[in-house]
Amino acid sequence: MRRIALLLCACALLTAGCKRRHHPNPAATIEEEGELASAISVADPKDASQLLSGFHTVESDSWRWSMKKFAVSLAPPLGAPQKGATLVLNFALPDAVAAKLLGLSITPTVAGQRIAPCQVTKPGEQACQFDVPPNALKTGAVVVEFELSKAIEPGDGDSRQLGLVVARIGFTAK
Amino acid sequence: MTRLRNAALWALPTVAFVWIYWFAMRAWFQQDDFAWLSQGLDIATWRDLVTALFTPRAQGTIRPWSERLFFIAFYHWFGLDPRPFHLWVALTQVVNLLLLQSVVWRLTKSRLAAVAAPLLWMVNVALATPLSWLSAYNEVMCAFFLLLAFRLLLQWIETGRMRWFWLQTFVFVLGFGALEINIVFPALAAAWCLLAARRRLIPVLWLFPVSALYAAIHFVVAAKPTEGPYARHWDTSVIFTYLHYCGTALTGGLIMPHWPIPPWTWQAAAWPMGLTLLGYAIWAWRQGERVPAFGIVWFSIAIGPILPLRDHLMDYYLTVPTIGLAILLAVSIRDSFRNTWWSRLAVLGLLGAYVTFSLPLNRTETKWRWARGHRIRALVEGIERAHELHPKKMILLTGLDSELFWSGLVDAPGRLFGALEVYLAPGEEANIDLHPELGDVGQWLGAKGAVARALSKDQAIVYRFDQSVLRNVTRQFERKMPPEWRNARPRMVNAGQPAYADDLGEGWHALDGDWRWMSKRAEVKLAGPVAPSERLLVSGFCPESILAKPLHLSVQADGIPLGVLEITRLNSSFETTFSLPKELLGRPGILVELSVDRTVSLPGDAREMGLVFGRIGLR
Repeated sequence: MRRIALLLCACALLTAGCKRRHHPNPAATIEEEGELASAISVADPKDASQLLSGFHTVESDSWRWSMKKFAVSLAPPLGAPQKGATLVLNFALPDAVAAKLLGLSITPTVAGQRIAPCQVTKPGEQACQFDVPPNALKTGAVVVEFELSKAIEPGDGDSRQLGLVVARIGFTAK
Repeated sequence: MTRLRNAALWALPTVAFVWIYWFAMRAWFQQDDFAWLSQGLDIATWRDLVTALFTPRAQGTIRPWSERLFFIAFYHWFGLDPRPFHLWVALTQVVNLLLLQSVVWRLTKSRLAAVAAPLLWMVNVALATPLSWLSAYNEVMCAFFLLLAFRLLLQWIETGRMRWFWLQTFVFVLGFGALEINIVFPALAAAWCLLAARRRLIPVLWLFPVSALYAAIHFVVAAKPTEGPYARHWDTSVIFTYLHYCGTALTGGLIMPHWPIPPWTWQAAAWPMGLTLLGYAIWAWRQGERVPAFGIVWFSIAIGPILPLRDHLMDYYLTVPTIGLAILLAVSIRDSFRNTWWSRLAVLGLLGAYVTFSLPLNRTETKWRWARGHRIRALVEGIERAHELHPKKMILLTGLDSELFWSGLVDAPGRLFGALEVYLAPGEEANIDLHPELGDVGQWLGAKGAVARALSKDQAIVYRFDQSVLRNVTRQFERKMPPEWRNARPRMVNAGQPAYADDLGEGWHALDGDWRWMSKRAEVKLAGPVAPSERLLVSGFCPESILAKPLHLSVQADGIPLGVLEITRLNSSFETTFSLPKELLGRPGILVELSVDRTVSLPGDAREMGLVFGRIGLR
């Protein structure tokens, strides 16, 4: 018993002088924000940082429901400050909601400039293209906001506000 | 062979313990752990250590071994590595299991009951929190002191040698350093003497004055809140609280959401279980068997001190009381084997229900705390790394949910590595549920104006919490930051932080580390109050050396006097609030003027010094 007590005391004395050596975990942060992409897949985790607002969670690893208003940040493509660019929105209007939303218009605003809207006249997968003038694409990153004229409000079997099933948003150079 | 069997029986509870608490023993630091870990930061001398160990903290508690020394020493040796902490907790609990086994063996002379008691105690939901959350180690340690003292009492009763009595008294007195519940030991000891060893009662009564002395000291130093969760209610509610804890001890106090039974089932099951056990204890009493009654007495005495806490029902408060339940259940097993088949069936049903309710809850809670620890670790290690990479910058966080905020950020883990300027980014408060009893979210929210100005001067960095890592999203955050933020006035200013320099008007000296001196008169620009209940909070400090006579701080807002605070040596570190007149309500901004009736000059410093601040703002 005495031997154990002595051993414990010796251990305590030895450890009392020791102090931790601690180094922060270098993998605890990701510092590179990455090059801002000109086109993003909304379900791709690496593009998630460019989704600003108005998106629900990823579904089927390939798309997200949008809300009535949604926004992303994009880098203008090469030559856009001189020639402008085409903004492309790839989305789907599911049959289940087509009866309520068919005929809706999508109005983008690029860097604060309102762009002519696009009307959705059929259900299913499709794309809308918008002509963006050069003066909206002068900076290295632009905020692209979309506003829908209609959306399904929460309560109709779903607690979310639902707009379009968005797959991809991006600029293409002219 | 017999020795091997005995060894296996002694080891069985430990093996079961490792299986049940495998996740608990790997849970990362959380909640109050960070406050306890940071105690050692201010210790430079032996006197500081003594102060840190024995100064009353949180609700006036003094727990030098279980909360102070434990965290101070282990953090000193092992830093932010929870494994040695948990190993120590596990070792304590293993000793507890052995002690309980030994106690029940002494009480019953039944090997079956002696092995069953620690197993039954261990599956109880009460132990999930103390064994997975380091801040609740006090419960485990308190159980250790009580069980050891009780075991020594039994030794003294058996042998009559006073050395065991004095050793028991010594352990009992040490136990006050673990948890206040230790106060019940004289009652437990006296109860056993009354039931089974009356000739030993008189010396045991001398333990009561020790508890009374501790109670008197605790009464003087402890907070006595009249409202909130720690308010004590000395009324009939103690009966309902007692019944609630009885039910929780028997059936866990909760039905898991995915179980296909109604939520009230635990209460419905607890009644027949409790009454059956009571009936058994009465039957056993008539047979001359006192141990079952002692199990009930242990439970009731140990739960006694927390019964007035009507609004703070915590399952881990049952850690020590459920030792009594375990003794009762264990003895019932022994007796059932000595009786008819129907008594065995009844005890089997009782134990089946007890384990079926408690064990899954126990495992779920420990797994939940373990999983939550993973997220907290990602957050805290991320803050530490961010501070290492950007040591002079304000760290702003996005993407935190309510649970992570309240369990991982509120207790300021950043203090441990010097990251003092860590805030939620403006707007993030929308994701946080309000818990006034835990703290003020606003205290952790970066002010829009300060954030915008800090970002524009490259004095801030923004991270998003991505579940396992902090991701730098500063540029993205800046891009969507509304331009009007730059001109927004803050609701709260910390004069000691550079980000708020633009919100300070005239009369301030340059920063001195983490604080700032005012001169005789100083100004602060704040947002206007929006609710009549809001008050102006002023917190600061004045070195005692210049408080030979009182100093008076006058406070005005937009020229309207709010009040005068007298600062003496008794309140040299002050935090006070002033009510705001109605005419300030709704103003976009207010100018707060602070002035002192005298200033001082410190040795070697020609500046005119008023007071040190501190936070100034609306609350």
